Amino acid sequence: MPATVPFDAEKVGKSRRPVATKEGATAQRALCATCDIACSVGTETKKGRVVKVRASDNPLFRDNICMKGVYAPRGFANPNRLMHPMKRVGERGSGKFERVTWDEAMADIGARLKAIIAKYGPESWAVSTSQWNTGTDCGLSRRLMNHIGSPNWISGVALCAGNTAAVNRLTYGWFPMGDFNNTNCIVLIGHNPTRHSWSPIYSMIRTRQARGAKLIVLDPRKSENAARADIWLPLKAGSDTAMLFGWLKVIIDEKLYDAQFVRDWTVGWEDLKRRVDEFPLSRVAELTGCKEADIRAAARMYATQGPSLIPWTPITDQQRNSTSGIRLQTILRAICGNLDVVGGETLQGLNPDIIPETVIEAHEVLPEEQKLKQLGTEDHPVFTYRGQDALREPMKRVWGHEYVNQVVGCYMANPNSTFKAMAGKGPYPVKAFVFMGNNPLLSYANMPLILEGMMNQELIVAHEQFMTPSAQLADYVLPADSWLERPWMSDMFGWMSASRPSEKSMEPPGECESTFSFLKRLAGALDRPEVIPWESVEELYDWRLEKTGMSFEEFSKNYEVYFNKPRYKKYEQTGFATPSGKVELKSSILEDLGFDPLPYFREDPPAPEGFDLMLFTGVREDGFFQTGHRHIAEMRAKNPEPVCFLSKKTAKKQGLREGDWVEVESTTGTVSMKVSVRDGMPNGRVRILHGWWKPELGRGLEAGLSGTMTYSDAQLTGDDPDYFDQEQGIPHFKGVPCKLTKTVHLPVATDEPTAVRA
Amino acid sequence: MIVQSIRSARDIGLRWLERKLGLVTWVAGRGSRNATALDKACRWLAAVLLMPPGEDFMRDPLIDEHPGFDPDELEAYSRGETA
Repeated sequence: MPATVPFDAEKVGKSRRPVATKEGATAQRALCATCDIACSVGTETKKGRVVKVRASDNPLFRDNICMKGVYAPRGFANPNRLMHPMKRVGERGSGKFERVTWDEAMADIGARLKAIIAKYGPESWAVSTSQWNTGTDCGLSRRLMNHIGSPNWISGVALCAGNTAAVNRLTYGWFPMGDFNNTNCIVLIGHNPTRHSWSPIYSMIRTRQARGAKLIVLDPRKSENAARADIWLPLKAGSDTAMLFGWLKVIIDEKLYDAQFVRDWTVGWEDLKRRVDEFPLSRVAELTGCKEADIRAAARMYATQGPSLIPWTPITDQQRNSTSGIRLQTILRAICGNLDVVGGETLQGLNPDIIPETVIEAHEVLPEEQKLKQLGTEDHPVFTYRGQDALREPMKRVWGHEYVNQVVGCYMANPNSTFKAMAGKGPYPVKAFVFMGNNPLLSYANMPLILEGMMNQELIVAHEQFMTPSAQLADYVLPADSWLERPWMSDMFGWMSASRPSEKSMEPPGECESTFSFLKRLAGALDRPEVIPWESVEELYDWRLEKTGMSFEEFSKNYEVYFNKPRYKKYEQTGFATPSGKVELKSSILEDLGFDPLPYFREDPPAPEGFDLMLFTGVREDGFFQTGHRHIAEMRAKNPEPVCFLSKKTAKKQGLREGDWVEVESTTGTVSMKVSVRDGMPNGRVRILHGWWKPELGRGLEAGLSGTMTYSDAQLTGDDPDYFDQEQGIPHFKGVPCKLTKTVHLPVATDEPTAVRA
Repeated sequence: MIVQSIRSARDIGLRWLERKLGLVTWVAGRGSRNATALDKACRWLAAVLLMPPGEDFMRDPLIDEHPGFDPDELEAYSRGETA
C-alpha cells in the first residue's frame, strides 16, 4: 500500500539516491513513459543496458509500476527497433525503404518542406504528436511551427485529456487535478484504473476506499472498479451527459449544493436551473437505462459525502456530447464546493520556479492571421486559438501567462479538419505531414479519410521507434530514442505544479536520437537554427531551472519531486481565470462562439437499418498502451488477438460463441475481431479494443499495413455530424451502430522478424 | 470573524494533517532502508500499521518477483539471435 502524499516539499521532494538491487548495476531515477501516467520508477543499468525497471524506493511512489514498465527493457531491445534513418524507395505505401544518413535525410526534408511552404504557405505543414510519448519535445515543435507560421498542430490529446483541459477552462479557467489522497468520494465515469493500467490512480483509489471513501462508478459494463463500487450505475454507452443532468436535478431540487459559493462565485445559476429542469429523473432514467432511485442515491452521495472528486475520464472526451458532458462535470465540482479544496479538485497553477513548456512554445510569435487559419477554427473552435482567445487576459491575470497550454491541448487544430485538408477537402491544402511518437492512422476517427490524406501528401516524415503502419506511408522514417535513453523533466504539461526529473539510464542504440535532437536538426534544415538555440536538452533544462539555482544534473540528483506548499481557494484572492472572474455555469465563451452557453444533451439518432447493435471503443488492454507494445512477446502472450466483448445473451442471439471470429461492421468500415463472452457486458452492446495492428504481418498498403486494415478500430468511427461533438469536433466512440457477421479468420502473410532490420 | 475562525480551524487542520503525513512518510522512508536499528524499528512499525501483505492490493508476482534481465541476453535478442 502506498504512502499518502504529504504537503511538505522539503521533507519528501528530496530523497536519497536509488540503490541497485542487481549486482554490478548502477541505479537511476526515471519517469516511465510507457503510458501517460509517468510513474516514478527506478532503473538499473549494467553493461550499458537497462536490465531492470522497478518501483521507486521513495515511499511516496511505492508500487507505482505496471507490467508494461517492467518489460520495457525487452521491448526496446526488440530486433525490429528502428536503428537508422530510412528513406522510402518505392511508391508511397509500398513499405520499401533504404538506409540513409541523418544528414542526408534532414537536408532533403528541409529542402522539400521549404519548397512546400513557399508554394502553399506555412499552414500547409501539419504536425501530429504527443509530448506524453516523446518526452523531449518540451514545446519545441510548437515553437518551431509558430516561428515558421503554421498553426496546424494536432494530437491524440484532442480525444484524451487535452480537450478536457480546454473545456474545463471555459467554466473556471483551469484544468484541476484531483487530490485523491484526501478525498472522501470518487466518481469514475467509465474510467477503470487497474493494477496494470494507471497504477498510481488505482492505488490511490483503493487506498482511499480502504480508509472509508465512497466510490461511484458510471459504466455500461461491470468493470473491476464497478464491482468494488458503493454505487454502480450501468448506464447506456454515451448517455453520461444525461446522467449528470439527473445528478444536478437532484442536487438542485434538494438544495445539496454550496449555496454560498454559488451566490458569490458563479454566474448563470438561474439559466442553469431552467436547463436542468428539462431533465426530470423519469426522463434521465429512460435516457440512461438506470433506476431513478440509484441515480438519486449517487447524486446525494456525491454532494454530501465530500470532499468529492470526479477525476479526468476519457469517456466524456470521446462522444457526441463531449463538451456538455465535460462542462457538467465542471459544474458539479463547482456548485458542490469541491473546487480548490483539500480532498477536492485542486487548481494548482504553474510552478513559478520553473519555466513551463508553454513559454517555450512561444504562441505569441504566431501572427493573428495565421492563428485564424488554424484548421477547425470556424466549425469546431473550442480547443483552437479562437476558442481559447477570450482566456488570454484572465490567464495572464490569474496564472501569470497569456498563453497557458495545459496538457498541450488548448491551442490545437482539429484533427478531422486537418485530415480533410490533407485529402484536398479543406479550405486550403496541407501537403507536408510530420509525426513524432504517434501513429496517426490508428489514433483518430475515420481512418479511410486519414489514409486518403496521407496518400495525398508531398512529404511525410515519421520520428519513431518502430515501423508502425503510419510510418510505412512516410517518405522518411527517423529512429527515435526511448524514455530509458533520454533525460526528461515533467510537470504533466501544466496539469500539476510539481516537477519531476527523469535521468538518462543508457545511451540510445544505433542512430536513435531524441525528439529534441530531431527538432533542432529540423530548425537548422529550415534555416531557422536560432529558434532552438540550446545545444542539448540538458542545456534547455538548465535554462528552465535557472530560478531554482540548480542545474538539471543537481535537480535530478537531489529531487524526486519538486513542488511548493499547496495553497487552496486561491480564487478568493485572484478570482477565476474566466472573462467574468467567476465560475461560468453559463459560458460566455461558448455564447460568443455561437454555441449554446449551457450544457445540453443530444439523443441517439435512429440507427441505420440492419445495424441493430451498438459498439463502444477506446478501451485498451493492460498489456498495451494505445497502438503500442504489440511487438512485446510477453504482452502478446496475454492478449494475442484483437477481441470484442459481448454479453452471453447477445452472443446467443447472434449465434456466436467464445473464440469465434466476427466481422464488426459500422457505416464507416469493417474489422475482424475474436469474440469474448463476458458476464459484465450489457446486452446489445459490443465493446471493441482500441489500436490493434500486428507488427509481424506484412508491411505496405497492399499487404494491409501490418494488419491495420483488418483490425484497427479507427475504421469503425467516422465524422458524420450526427456522431460528432460540434463545439470541439470530436468523434463519437461510445455508442456507434454496428452489426456482426460470423467469419473465418484467415492468416495473413507475415514478414520475417529480422528481415526488416536495416 | 466567523470566516476568520473557520479559516483558522482549517489551517490548524491542514497543519495537523501535514505533520501526520510527514511522520508516516518518514517512518516509511526509514523502514525502506532497513540498515540501522532505527530503520528496523520503523520497518516493524510500518508493517504493523500498514495493510497486511495478503490484503495488499498492489502485490503482484509479475512485478514483485520479476528478476530483471541479463544484459548479454538483451544484447543477443536485439541482434535477432534469440527469441
